[in-house]
Amino acid sequence: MTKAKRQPVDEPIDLAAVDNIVRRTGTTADAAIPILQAIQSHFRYLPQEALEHVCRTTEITAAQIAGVSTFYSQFRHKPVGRHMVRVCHGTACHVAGAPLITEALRRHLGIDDDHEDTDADRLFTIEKVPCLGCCSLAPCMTIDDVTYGKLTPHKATMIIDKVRKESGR
Amino acid sequence: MPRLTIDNRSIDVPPGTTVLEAARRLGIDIPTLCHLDGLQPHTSCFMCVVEIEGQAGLKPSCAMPVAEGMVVRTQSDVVMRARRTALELLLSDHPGDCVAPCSLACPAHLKVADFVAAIVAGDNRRAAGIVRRRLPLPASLGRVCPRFCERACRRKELDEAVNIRDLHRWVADKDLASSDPHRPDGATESGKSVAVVGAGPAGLSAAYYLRQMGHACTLYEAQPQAGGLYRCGIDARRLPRDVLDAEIAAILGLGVQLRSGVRLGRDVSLDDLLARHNAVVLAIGTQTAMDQAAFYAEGRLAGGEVRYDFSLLNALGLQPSRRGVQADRATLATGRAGVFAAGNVVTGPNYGVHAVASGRRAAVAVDQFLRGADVVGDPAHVNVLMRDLSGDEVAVLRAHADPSPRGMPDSGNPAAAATASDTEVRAEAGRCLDCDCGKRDTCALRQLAARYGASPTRYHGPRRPFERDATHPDIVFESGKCIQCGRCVRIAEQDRETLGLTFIGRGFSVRTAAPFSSELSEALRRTARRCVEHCPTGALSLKRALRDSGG
Amino acid sequence: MSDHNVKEIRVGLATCGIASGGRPVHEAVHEAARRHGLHVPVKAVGCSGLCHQEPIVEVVSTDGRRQVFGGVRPAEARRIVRDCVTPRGMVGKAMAWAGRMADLLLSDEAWVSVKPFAAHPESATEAGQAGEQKLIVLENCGQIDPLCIDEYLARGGYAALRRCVADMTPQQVIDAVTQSGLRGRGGGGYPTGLKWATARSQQDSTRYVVCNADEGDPGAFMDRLVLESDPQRVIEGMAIAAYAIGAAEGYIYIRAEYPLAVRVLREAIAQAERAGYLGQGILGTGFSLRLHVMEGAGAFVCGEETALMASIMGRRGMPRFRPPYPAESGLWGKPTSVNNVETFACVPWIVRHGSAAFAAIGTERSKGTKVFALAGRIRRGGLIEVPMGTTIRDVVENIGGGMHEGRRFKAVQIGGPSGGCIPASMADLPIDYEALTRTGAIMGSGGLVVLDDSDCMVDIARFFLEFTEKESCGKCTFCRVGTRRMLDILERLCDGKGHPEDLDDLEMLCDQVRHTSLCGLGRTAPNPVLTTLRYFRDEYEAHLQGRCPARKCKALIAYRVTDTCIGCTRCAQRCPVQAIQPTPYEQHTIDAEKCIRCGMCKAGCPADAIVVE
Ligand SMILES: Cc1cc2nc3c(=O)[nH]c(=O)nc-3n(C[C@H](O)[C@H](O)[C@H](O)COP(=O)(O)O)c2cc1C
Ligand code: SF4
Ligand code: SF4
Ligand code: FES
Repeated sequence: MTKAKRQPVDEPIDLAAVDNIVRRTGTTADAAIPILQAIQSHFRYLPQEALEHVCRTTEITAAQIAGVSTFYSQFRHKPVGRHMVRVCHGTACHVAGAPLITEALRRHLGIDDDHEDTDADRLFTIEKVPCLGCCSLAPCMTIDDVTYGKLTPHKATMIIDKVRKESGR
Repeated sequence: MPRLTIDNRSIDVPPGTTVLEAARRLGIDIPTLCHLDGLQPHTSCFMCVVEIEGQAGLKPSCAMPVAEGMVVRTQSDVVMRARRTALELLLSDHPGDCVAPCSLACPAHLKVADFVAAIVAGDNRRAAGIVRRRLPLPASLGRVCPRFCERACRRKELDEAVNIRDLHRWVADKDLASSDPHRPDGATESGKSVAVVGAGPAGLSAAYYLRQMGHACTLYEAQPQAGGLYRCGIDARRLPRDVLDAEIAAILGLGVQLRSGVRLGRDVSLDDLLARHNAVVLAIGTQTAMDQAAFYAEGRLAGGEVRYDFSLLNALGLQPSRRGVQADRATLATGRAGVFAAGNVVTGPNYGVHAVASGRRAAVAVDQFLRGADVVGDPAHVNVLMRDLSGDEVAVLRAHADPSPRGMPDSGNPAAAATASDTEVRAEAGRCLDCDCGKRDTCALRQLAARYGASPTRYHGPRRPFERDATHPDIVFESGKCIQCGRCVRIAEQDRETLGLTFIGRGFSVRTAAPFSSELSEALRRTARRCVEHCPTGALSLKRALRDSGG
Repeated sequence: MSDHNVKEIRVGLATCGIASGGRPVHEAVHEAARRHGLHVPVKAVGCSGLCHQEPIVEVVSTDGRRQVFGGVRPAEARRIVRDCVTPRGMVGKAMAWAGRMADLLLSDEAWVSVKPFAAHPESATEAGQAGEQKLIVLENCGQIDPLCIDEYLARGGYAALRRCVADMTPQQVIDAVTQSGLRGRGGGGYPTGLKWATARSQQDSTRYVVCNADEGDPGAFMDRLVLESDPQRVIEGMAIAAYAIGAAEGYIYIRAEYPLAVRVLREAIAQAERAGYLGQGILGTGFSLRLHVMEGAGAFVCGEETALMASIMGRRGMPRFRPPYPAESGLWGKPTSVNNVETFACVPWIVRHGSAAFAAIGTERSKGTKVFALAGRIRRGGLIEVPMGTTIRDVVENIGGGMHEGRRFKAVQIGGPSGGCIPASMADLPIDYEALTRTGAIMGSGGLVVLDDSDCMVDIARFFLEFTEKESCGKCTFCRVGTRRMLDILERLCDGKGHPEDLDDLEMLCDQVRHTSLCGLGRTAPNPVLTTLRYFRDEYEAHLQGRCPARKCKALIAYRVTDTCIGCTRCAQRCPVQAIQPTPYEQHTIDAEKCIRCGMCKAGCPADAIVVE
């Protein structure tokens, strides 16, 4: 989290939406996580301006919100791609070859920087998750809300292509 | 009031007391890194662990409340091992140098960055004092030493090493030429006296430091004049005799007696010396070797041509080694009580800087011996040294250094060196990256590591990057050295800093940082100094200028 | 329109059902029922535990007979519905056949034979015995519509709560739970009654009850399933607990990765409130309880109770030192009883059937049943519930159906990242807290992954360490740095770069991390390593010599094309790094230099000509 790495923000952040969220969720320190969750579901990530705005309008301190928002893996500080690809890396999926699936997807999407998880077109963000709870379909992944099971690396890349086609690229 | 037993001693304390507090009441010292009186326990470092009978695992005493009948052990093998491992784990991810690599590479461990900073600050007298704490003959060494320090200089990652040797020569020359040359503070007289046999660099060094420790000191030298190999083994063009004479005079000026023309084994025996003095330092390497008319190259007695007079050692009742006399590595104590050795007589042919280093170490041990303390030599230090620096890390180090190339005229040409201007010298000094840790002498992590024999290289693996935030006017934050003890975080919170500090991320990659990548100057508006004071490592330290001024 | 004896049709729509394509099946059933004029309820139920068979359609007859169909596609769903209404005579059969063919022609889906089989141990009449299960926690799962409180009530729901508040003092409730021998199902196995008693005995009268539904073990999904399939049971359990300890407020902390469970739970709470089982003055008494649902945000360590409470209070989920225990000082410093989903789910049964009935099941010190998420290399994965004391072999071979063809049972991984690997040679071990702990593993919360001879135990240890290292909260030295250094060694081993002293170093580090970490995460993180070192040391030694016996570790294997290659070039097309030159009709070869061991070629080879060695 250095200044230089701060994400360029395409559009101005809609702080009225943040106000709404705060109004709904409350302004006490224990509302921090629900507020962050609501902000993320609105913007699909946590814009820093929004977080700073929360500190100004609630009891939540900057130290708290920065600490909390970087502790939990659900929270993202960078905008994500249009589709979230979650590859299950639970035990059953791991033994069934999940590492090969993730590698194949990253390769297929040309994501080779270890610190990057979104492809250059900002269409797909790949995330490793610890167990989607579909162990009997191992290895599996979800793209947005759809689950795909019994994958092979090849099948996984085909699914990506299909989704890409459907979203018109 | 619960009664408990700690290390077989029992104590009654009010309920709610922690085991740590109870132990302290008994005067039992339990090390802590993250705990700080007045703050909620954080239980992160696990230095304070103890064993509690009937409970599985080890418990952090800083948070463990006492209970009736509790039996606690604070010194068992398991406990000591856990503390050592905790330190070794912390040190395995501790990017930074405790001591600059040049200082480590210098056989005398000259505190390079300190004296160089004093030059930059324009305080030559202080610079001279710092130099002489390690080098009793800095002007002479400044002409003949082969620059061990410069070989290790980090600046080489950028361009060329800082011209360290010539800088200390310049400091010493200037000091000697000044109207009021530096004179070390002496301790009160101890009433003890020491015989130092041999007035070469090692003997002179031992005498110089022993005097400062308050011991009477007599130098016995077979030759008519002091100086040893520096006088008779080195070309006067490289080491002008007036420079050597001036440095010897400064040492004798502290009240060291010189008895020249006295040869050990011929004119005086070791037993005589032991009868007359409380201790003896044998620095006779030069004395025996000189007879073979050795030849000096780059200040070093060329090997192979030297034959020690082993019969002399036998006659003195000392154990010979392959190189000379047998002496303990750390204390330089020989087999005879009260007899220490220093210089080439121990190491075999070596450089002058090794000799002065050895003379100083002998002085430290002799002092301990005379005070009746444990004779252990210099305190043991643990040194973390960064390896495999990335480009980013080098960039961090260079950020505050003068970017110009190595500029000071080389003393290979003494005339040119002598004429180096103040500005040239200061520019050269400004090239120093100041690699020393800001908490070099106060870091609790380093001190505990020495105490528990923890090795910084026990575990290998990825480490955090070396980073430095110097945006704050008073303090520097080097996050890689942070052990996540949370003291600063809690202090800033307690004092209601608007921004303060927080933990960012989690697991191995957790960092202590200001929220929203804010600058430290904004984050710690009120508590910066307090955070530095309580940070147990070099993560938070005062800027050099404040440290040097005792700030 | 026709005579039939169908009472209702159930379609499994828990996460596993949806993931397997249950939604279109559900729609197909609906639509077909309408088309055939079959006016019976088509219910979206939870999961009956047969996850490997999803999507599941179950037809319940008026006489209570149940037919379960697994692996159903929409086309088959339509056929199943139609079969319900076709007469049973010869003509009917012929017509059914014709219809079936028509459906087959109309659908573009491959025909998978749908075999009815026994989904439920209680109805284990048809094909395949589901083994010796005993359903307490799962008794309603897959049977009722989770979003309909009346169905829960119809099956005896809330009778237990009613009895508690009407006829029992809180102390009597605690005694009943104590006598049942119920121990925490979240992993620790702490006696539930004792925990409640501690909370109850505190001075402070503001108290909280918390349900731990964080279920973070990779490979465990028991709690999700229970919450998705029978949420009222958990709510009832919590209400009983709240009554017993004297709490008026409670939290359910649930993983955010379980969106369906969150939705179901919220709805279930609303229904319970409307029906008077939650809220003010429950069942006309002075007892009140408000429940809040708090979604986690992705941190395994928040399953640890002190971290969980920190998270509820809006902080970083970093555990703190205990004592004080939550039952003494928990949420906002008040006495708080934290219990697991399954623990709560047992409570209504205990109250209804009596402590003695519960205590009659199981072993000396482990009472009742345990739910496991059975997964890995077995034929039938899913959720099972067995009496304590059942052997591992029973679970693997009878319930799980054993290994796949040609594979050898090697070990079970039990307890996830805090547990360990128990070798096949010890499979006759009974499932019991103490017996499992003696092996170096733990009961854990119920993840049970079966491993066969194609699994590398060093890789398994590395996998779990990678997990714990990433999930460590980063507070204490031994866990934050220690697990990283353990992982370093395991990574070296898997890369074939191990040093001979690594195994001893690893053991030494494990030992210290285990004894000197702050919370259970660090204290149990070494278990997967220690158990594999103990039972499979030969595999570690093989890795030291640069060999991976199971041929899993990438750095230690090579792909090769054998002479069964038919020269179809498919592998060459699939290889992402062009390590295979396409040579039609000739045997292909793999350039070992280029090969990144991604397995794409092998997976695509129609002749099975690619081997790993
Ligand atoms: C790292 C860690 C993760 C845990 N995860 C869970 C979990 O997901 N679910 C759970 O019920 N208990 C979990 N626990 C155990 C809880 O701390 C606590 O013991 C449990 O919720 C108590 O409930 P019980 O007595 O009903 O088992 C975890 C413990 C640790 C140390
Ligand atoms: S920077 Fe803060 S958290 Fe890190 S070691 Fe120093 S005081 Fe502790
Ligand atoms: S053991 Fe690990 S997870 Fe637990 S407190 Fe320590 S660092 Fe955090
Ligand atoms: S854990 Fe007690 S002082 Fe750090």
